[in-house]
Amino acid sequence: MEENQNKTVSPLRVRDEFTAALERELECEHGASEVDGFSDFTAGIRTAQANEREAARGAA
Amino acid sequence: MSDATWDATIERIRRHCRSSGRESVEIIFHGGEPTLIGAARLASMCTRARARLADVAGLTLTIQTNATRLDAGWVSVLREHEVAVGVSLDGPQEVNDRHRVDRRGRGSHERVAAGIALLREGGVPFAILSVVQPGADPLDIHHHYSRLGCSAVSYLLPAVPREAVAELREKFGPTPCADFLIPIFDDWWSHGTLELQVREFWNIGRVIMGGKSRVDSLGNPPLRYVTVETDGSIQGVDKLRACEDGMTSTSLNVYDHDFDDIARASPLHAGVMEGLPLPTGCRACPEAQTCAGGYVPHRYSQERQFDNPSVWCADLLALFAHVRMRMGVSHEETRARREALARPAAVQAVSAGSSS
Repeated sequence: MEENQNKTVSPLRVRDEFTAALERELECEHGASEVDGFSDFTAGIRTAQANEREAARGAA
Repeated sequence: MSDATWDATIERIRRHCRSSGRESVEIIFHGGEPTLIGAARLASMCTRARARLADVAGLTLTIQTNATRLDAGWVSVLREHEVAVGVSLDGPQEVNDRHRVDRRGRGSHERVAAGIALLREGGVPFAILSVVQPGADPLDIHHHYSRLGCSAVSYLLPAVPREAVAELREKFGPTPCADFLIPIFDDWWSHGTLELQVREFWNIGRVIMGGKSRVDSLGNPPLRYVTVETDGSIQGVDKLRACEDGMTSTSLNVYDHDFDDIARASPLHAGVMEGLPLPTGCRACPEAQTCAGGYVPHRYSQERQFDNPSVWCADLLALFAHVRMRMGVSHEETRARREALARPAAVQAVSAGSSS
């Protein structure tokens, strides 16, 4: 029980949460519904970048 | 500052909010050392400000202090009046006390730490404002701040003349500030938590993610604030004092003039408050819309005024490149995010135009 409580209050690590926290902050400032596609679009770019990296690795 | 001058200042702020439609305002008590006025006096000033401004604007009160004069009475006033606290400190004792000494030459760190301990005991959150110390051990400094229990840290690039920057580069390498900040970023990135914000990193992240900076050291924002001296004289943005003697001076005062008058006091003040053009040398830079020339005072030279990239340009570019690499955000992604965030405003503008 105590262990679970500790888990729920464990601080968010910067590496894992920074980008998501900024995304939430910016979406909130602009009104989440008004920037529909902001995260999706970003996810698309991230996927494209990941594919590009994979392709580069494959070529190497 | 006399009561009459303070009250005149508050009335000017009130008029400004009403005429501009501004819904929020921040008053920062700084100096010199603002705690010299005494806790009871500050309490009275806060009470009067809140009473006169409550119906026109949300009010944030902040004090920037060296914390050496804080006692239980001060902590109680800061908590009761919800005054945000910034403490000026330049590192652990051996680093801070090289620069921050009193009239007798005594270092201030011990007294600053005692003041900070009182803030912590009193449950008053505080941020630390620190100047980057080229050549010092950055992690030693950052860990020290973390142990002191601050909620945020600001690392300011040094305000030094261009020739002094050249000397620092000669001594510590081509990017002494980036060499200081990047290890802190990596430490924060790998071992830090979101509970401790490093404002410069947070705002670099914001602009890289397509947002606007909340600090005036990035993004070339209009510097829409003025300084009211203890005698009631209105000065331009006080941070420009580092550029040239007298640069911030005006002939205005809170008894006779509105704050808007400062934009008419000189083209310089108008430019700074309404937003300076991007420096010519920054226009082709991939960080033109994010860094955007850095901190305005760091752009100044007598020859070209503010039409220069920051004296810390190489450091800023190295830092941006590093943060981009860690976050995995390309320049293309930043552009795409900016466009996505700008879209609603464009739609609103079209709607407003078609209905009129």
